[in-house]
Formats: sequence, structure tokens, C-alpha cells
Amino acid sequence: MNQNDDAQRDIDKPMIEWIVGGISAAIVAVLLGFLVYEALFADSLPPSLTATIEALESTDEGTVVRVAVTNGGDKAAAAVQVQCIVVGREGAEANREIELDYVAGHGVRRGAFIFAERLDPQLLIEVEIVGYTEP
Amino acid sequence: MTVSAQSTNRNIRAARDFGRAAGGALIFCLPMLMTMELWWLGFYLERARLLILMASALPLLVLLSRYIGFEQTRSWRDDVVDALIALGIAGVVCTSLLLLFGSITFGEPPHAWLGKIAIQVVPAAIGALLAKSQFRAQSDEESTDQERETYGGELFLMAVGALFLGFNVAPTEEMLLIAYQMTKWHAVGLVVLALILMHGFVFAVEFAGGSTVNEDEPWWHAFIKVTLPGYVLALAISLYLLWIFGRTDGLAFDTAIMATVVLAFPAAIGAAAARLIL
Repeated sequence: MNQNDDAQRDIDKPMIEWIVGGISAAIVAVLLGFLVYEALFADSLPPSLTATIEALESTDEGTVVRVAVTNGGDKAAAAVQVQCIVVGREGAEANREIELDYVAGHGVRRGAFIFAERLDPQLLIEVEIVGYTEP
Repeated sequence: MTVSAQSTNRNIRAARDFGRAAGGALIFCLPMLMTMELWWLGFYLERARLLILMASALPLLVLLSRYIGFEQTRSWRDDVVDALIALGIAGVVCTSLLLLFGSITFGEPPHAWLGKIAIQVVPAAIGALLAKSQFRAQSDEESTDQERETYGGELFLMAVGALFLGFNVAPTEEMLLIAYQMTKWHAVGLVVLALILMHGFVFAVEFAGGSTVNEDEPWWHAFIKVTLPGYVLALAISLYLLWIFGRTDGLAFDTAIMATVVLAFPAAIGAAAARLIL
């Protein structure tokens, strides 16, 4: 009785082990295939960064300019400096700068500029990338 | 023996058990308690992810207690109680150290210091449960070894090993930085090296005994049945940890894969060495 049970378990056990092993082998093969395919055929373009204003929020403390920095290139950029310039009615300028530690290839990072005064949405507000370094 | 002497004995044993658990929590968690990224994550991480981390930790701790936990447990109820005790001890250890390090202060809002503690409690609780088995191992080796004999148990132990090493490095910025520095060929090399090293560990442990793989089977049997599933577990746990710690946010698919491969390297070593270190 006991021996039969043991024998049955011995047959069942390896079956499950092979199934789990087989599925795992397939997953690792897909992973390696993907990496090799990317290594062989994917482009490796340098960072191509664009900054866009996502929102302009007026708070009691002033104005928050929310910005999204998108990297259209394949490589990551580090220490990405972004600048926000506001041109006032009399031509006076206000400047703010932030730095994002990394923006991954084809990735997005977000940040915000803060102005102590309330900004008129009619004003000319521009954001631009100042520069970056290689990671 | 008198009744009072018996209860004194029991008290001493309980105190010793709590001490061991606290020691285990400390060993597992100290590198994380001294990592600044984790303090920051404590207050900026979405509460939903923190909740998922805690919710997924509880069944893991119960299972851990089942396999190699505190005392020789008799029922699932005991295991749940043990898991909760481990969480409690972990909470005390983490709170006191974070207080002593000055990384939680009374000036902070409650959600900030609660977050800082919550994120540390899970690995510390794993440590608390493991420590007891570690210290206890000498006396009860036979019974625990028999429980580890099952295939499921072996994979579970690998997952815990992967979690252990993965937890320590997953929150750091270096995981992404390394992924950015690497090309896809580097990643291929890292996957292959992880598999070779893992199999080395699996092979070494086979000789030490206790593995479900027979010694007279060819090497690739163990490779397919133990090493590959172990590596896939390491990958899955790496992706889970990166997501929990918000490291995959805003990443493109291929960069997320790269970061997972990077973290899966230490996780794989942890998985393969689990039998040796846990």
C-alpha cells in the first residue's frame, strides 16, 4: 500500500517538474531571444529630449508649471537640465531651472517649475532642455 | 519540577525565541534601514503599492512559517500567529532603529513615518522567521529537511532567497543606472552568467544533499528542473520589486526588461544559494 503510493508519487513528481522546467525554459528562451534581437536589429540612437508643459496650476503660493520630459532616443540621458522662461508683458523675463536625474530611452519623467507670483496664462511660457550628460 | 519552575522555563524560552527573531530581523533588514532611497520611498510611494506589498507579504510569511518558521508548527492557525508575531517583532526593530538613526522624527506627519516603517517591516519579518529556523536547525535538522524535500518547497525556498537579496538592492537607484549603462549584449551576458552561477550553486547543493534531483541524473536534468524555474522566479520577483518601489514608472518596455535582468542577477544568486544561506 505504502509502496504503491510512493511509486505513484515518484511518477507524478517528475512530470510536474518537467512541466515547470519546460515553461521556465520557454520564458528564458523568449527573454534571451528578445535581448539578442534588440542587440542585433534595434537602433541605438542618442537621447533626443523634448519638454512639454502639461499643466499650469494656480495655487495660493503662486503658479506651478508641470512639465513632462520625453526621451525619443534609445539611450538614457542623465542630469537633464530643463529651463522655463516666462516673458512678461513689459518684456521682463522670469527664469526657473530644474534637473532630472535620469530620463530613460523612450521614457518619460515629470517635474514642475514653481513661480511665487500668479502667472497669467496669456503670457508666453516656454520650456526647453538645457543639456544632459551620459549616465 | 514545580509549576512555577516550568512557567519560568517557558518564559525563558519565549524570551530567547523573541531575541532570535529580533536578531534575524536585524540581519536581514540592516542594509535596507541604512539606505536613504527607502526612507524617501516611505513617504512618496503610492499607498496602494505599499498596501499590495503588505498584503502579499502575509501569505508569504505564513507559508514561510509553514516550511521553516518558528516552532514546529502544528496548524495553519499557528502559522498565521507566527507570521503576525514576526511582523510585530520586525515593526519594533525597524521603528527603534529608524528612530535612533534620526530618519523618523516627531515633526513628520504620520503617513511619512508609517510609510518608512511599513516598507522595512516586510523583509525584517522574513528575517525574523528565518532566524528561528537557522538557530534551531541543529536540533531539529531531520524534521525540517524532510519538509524541504518537496519540489514546491524547494521552489518556494528559492523564491524567498531571491526576495532576500532582491529586497536589499531593488530600491536603490543603481538598478536603473546599471541598466542604462548596459547594452543588450551586456544583458545577454548577465543572463547567461546568472544561469551558470545558479547552476553551480544548485550542483554544489545537490552534493550537500536535500535536493529533489537525483545525483545519477545528467546535469541538464537539474538545470531544467531546478535552475531554470529558479531563474524565472528571480525574474518575476525582480519585476515585482521594481514595480513596488516605483522603479518601472515611466520606463519603456525594453528598459524595464533590462532593469529586471539587472536585479534578477542578485536575486538569482539569492535563489540558488537559498538552501545554503537560509
